[in-house]
Amino acid sequence: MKTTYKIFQLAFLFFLSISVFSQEGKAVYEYSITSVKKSSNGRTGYTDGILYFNNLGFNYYEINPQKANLTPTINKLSDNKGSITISVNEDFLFEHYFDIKTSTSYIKDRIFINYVNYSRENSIPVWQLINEKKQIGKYICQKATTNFSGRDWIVWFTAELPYRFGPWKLHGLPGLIVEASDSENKYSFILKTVQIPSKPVYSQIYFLKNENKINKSYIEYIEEKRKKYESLNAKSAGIGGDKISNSSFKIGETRDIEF
Amino acid sequence: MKFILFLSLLLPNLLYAQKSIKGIVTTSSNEPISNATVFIQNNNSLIIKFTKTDFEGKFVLQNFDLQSAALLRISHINFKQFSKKIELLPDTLILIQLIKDSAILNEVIVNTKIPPVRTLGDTTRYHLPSFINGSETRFEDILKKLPGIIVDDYGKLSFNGKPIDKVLIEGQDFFSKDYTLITKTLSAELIASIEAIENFNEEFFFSDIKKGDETVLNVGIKKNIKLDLFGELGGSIGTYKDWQLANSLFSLSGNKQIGVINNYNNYGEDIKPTVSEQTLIKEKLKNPQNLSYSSREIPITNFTPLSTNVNNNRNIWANVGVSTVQLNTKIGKSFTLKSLLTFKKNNLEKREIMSSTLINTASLLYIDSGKQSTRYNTISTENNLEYLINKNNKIKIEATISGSGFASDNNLTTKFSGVKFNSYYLSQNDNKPYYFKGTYLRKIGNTNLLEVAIFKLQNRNDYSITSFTNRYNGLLGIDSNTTDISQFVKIIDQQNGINTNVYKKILNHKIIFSSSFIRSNTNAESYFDYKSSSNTYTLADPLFTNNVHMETEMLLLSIKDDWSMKNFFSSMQLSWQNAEVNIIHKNTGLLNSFSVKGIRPNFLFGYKINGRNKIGFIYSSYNQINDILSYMPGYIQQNPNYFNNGKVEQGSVKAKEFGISHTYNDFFNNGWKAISGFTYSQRENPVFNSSKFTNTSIFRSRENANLPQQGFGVNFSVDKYLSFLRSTLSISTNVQKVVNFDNNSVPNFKKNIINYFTIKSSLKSGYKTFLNFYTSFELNSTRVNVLQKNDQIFSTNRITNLIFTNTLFIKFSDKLYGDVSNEFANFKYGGSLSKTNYCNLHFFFKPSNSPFSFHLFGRNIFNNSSQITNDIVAPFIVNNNLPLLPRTLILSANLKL
Repeated sequence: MKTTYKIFQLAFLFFLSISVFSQEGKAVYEYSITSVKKSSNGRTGYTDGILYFNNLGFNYYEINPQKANLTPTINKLSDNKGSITISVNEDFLFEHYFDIKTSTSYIKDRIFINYVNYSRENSIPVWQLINEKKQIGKYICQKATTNFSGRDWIVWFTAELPYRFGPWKLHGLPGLIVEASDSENKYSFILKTVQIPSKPVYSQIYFLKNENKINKSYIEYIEEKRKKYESLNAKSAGIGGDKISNSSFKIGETRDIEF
Repeated sequence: MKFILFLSLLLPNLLYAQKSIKGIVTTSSNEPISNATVFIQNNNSLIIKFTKTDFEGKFVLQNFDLQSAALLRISHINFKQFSKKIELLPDTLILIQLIKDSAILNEVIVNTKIPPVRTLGDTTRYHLPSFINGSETRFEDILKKLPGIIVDDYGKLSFNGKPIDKVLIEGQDFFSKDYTLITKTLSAELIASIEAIENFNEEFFFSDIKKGDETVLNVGIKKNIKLDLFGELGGSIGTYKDWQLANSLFSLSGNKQIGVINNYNNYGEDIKPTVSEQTLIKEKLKNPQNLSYSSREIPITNFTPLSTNVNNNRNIWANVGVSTVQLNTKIGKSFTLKSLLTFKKNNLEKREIMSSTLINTASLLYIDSGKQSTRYNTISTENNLEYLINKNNKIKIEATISGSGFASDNNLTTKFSGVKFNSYYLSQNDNKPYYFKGTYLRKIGNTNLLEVAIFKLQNRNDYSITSFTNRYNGLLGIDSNTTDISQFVKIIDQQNGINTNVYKKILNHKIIFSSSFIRSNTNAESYFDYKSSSNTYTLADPLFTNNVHMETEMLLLSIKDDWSMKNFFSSMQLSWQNAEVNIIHKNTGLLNSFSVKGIRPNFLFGYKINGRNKIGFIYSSYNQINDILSYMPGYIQQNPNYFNNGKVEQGSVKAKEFGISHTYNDFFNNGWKAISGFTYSQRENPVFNSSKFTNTSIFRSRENANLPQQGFGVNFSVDKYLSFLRSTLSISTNVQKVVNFDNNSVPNFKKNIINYFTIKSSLKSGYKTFLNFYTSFELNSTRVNVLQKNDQIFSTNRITNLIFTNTLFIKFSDKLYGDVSNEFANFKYGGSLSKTNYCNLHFFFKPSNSPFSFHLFGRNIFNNSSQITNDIVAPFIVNNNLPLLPRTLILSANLKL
């Protein structure tokens, strides 16, 4: 009798879990980098960072602009016309899945040109709320700061969009991050659009953690990165045809260096 | 009293005391809600404290300064937000039930500060609303308005000076190099975004390591368009029996992508033109031949000229048509098939404009050789099958079958058909990525064969090896009995900047070895190149076994674009060349050896102040060697002794250029932009006398004289935004004087002097949203004086061209708008005069909520008088006696799907 009841309960829960309507949202950020290389005329580079979120977590990834147009799946994705079928390759410069339940980040990040997947527990930055506000678009935003991954970050978030998510590794505020930049203004994120569609068209948020590819801890990742950049610093090297010489390529110059 | 005492104790507590709030958040059915956001917002809407609920729905907020009218708010993505004044909440554990909610937020554009043009890496993205005004009909009309993109008269595109290879729709490659099929037919209304991508590499396996060399455009389709089927069907009919039937339809759904384009008409609207067939007079008139003049920068403004005329191919009268279908499909999970079928029919009647150079006056003569008709039909199919073995391995097979027939008035009829196969194998894994490509080409009819094999090993960041073997049998007219094999090996070590190439040709021995080394840091780049080559030629004369030619070249290049003072830029290039020719006699061995040595300096130095003022100086010099390897076996047989007498002749080409320019740009603030510049150039070419070639030696000898050329140029351009007219006034002038001295090769003449003057002005207005105008005026005046040795003027010719254009854009409503334009052109040269004055009208009617749109096009010629002279000597085309398109009124209807 007890077992039958349990099965019934499980079946009911299962039924409930699919019938329960779960909200999903999408936000598109513009991620820009002020070039550190003088030879590129100090141009500012940019790409789209896309954030999907629901009650389980969020997935944020930055589209590799050189590939953005090559794979039709990406176009469909940005046009909300299909489900997300993302293969893990360099279509994306950066990927971050945050699981709310375990408060763990699963991150695909770059060490030079190779990609590494790692997990990081307790990845939420410690935020200081600042008593300053400004209007961005139609939203009243509040300032918050944090020191995270070796940089000081200044963000503006809005409680009018009460989702604790944001671009890159920045999240955990009581509202969606609308603008973010580091104190040196090298990296910035600007929220371009946000939407919560009436139907959850993104049939599932892309779970990086399910790919069984997380093979490193955060500590191991940082150590590997440090070693790679130290070895690169010894001689000039190239990324995708770009020549980067030792004098212009220093540890700490890229956003993703964390110590 | 007790009450007051109570209040006095309570109020400070409420207002300023450190307070804590505890609570549980549940659903209406008392299920705990975890991960809800809980925060306190003061009356200034600032959040002072926040937390989230745990898995039991509990939260605690403590150690905050409570201010009056502060709110406790609780939010969760699946529930309605809870909000209540803290004063009204009980001090005990608060129980809060959230109500289920399906909040919908339509896409909100948060940030609209998007710059008109942005680049990241190799991608340049245009923010279209900054450039278009809704009057564009075709994709091409939009492209004409984008800075950096140039659409030439045949529809061919270039981006930042580089030709565009492909146009992609939503990332899909359609019609490959024949992209004019897309740009000339795709409706402008469908287009949401345009991106130009440089260094595009289709083989995405390698795009991280190797950059491709293609430049492509990617077009995004508007979100409200159903990608399953979009495009247009249309037809038009005119009073001059003009007709057109056209459609451009695309389907991009899931695994299948189809593009179908048909366009048949009898007024020469050639949507798939072959550029080499046509020469346009207007372009030539605008371009001075002699001085390389830096073109004006294009200001990025919202004011763009409206289209001035509809069909400027005024020298073509034709019956043309093209039908093309492309299918891209995925078969199963692993196969991708791309198939293209194109049929093209052309029946052209046009005037042939021939050009020839007159050496004695260093001028170009263009001759109108009259009406000619050419007919050609082509049919081709291109198939491309890709098989993805797994994530790391891929096979690709390409097959092209084509046939064409070409006939023209002078009885030239050719037919060609061919079959071509290419196969590729691509493999990549993290440790050993490699790549293999095999090509097999067969041309039916002449039993020609070409086999190519490429093997490439790429160790991601370190080096790559490419090997190439070319085996052909009588391809392209080479003796059909010979088989030639050439091999090519290339090693690139990207990390150290080393590049080594070896080229080896088996028959008719030839080896080229080259190696380069590049070093760079942020503000300087140095480059060293060493090249050595040896050639052995088999001579027909049995006495001479071979002719060995050895050449060594070294190049040292140093570029410094950012000195410590930042504003200097310079580049230095020094190359050393040593060439040797050995003639070897079968019996006596080495008969003669000729050698030449040369040093070529090339120096550029410039200074710029804030990017506004630039001063630059360029000096270059190099040795020109007459063609020592130009020989024919017959001469050697007849005159073997000449090998003993020969010597290598050389002379140096020297060029000096000095330029100064000033830019004042405050266009966005005060509406002014001005550029002024001055250049001076001097050039000297050695003269080799070709007449001695036939009589005495295998060498051409050098004359004592040089052929100097001098040029001066001054340019000035100004743009001013006139706020009261909401319009931009542009004026640009350009004055040049070019002197060609020629006192030797043509005995009687001393020099010619070309004075060139041009002024262009335009006023483009965004006066009112319903009324815009574009006015332009252009005057070119050129005088060519040819002087004889005794300073007597041999001939003087003046050419004056005047073009006056007016366009008025009228918008009655969003449904009805269009433009009326008038062009008056006056070409005057010698005693000849050519006048044209014509008027175009072009109106659109788009009923709202209707898939139909209508378009009325009219053309009227008011007068056209001209006389033909074919004997004018000038550096420009002078003949404009062209059959102008007759007056007509065309109505067309389009159905948008």
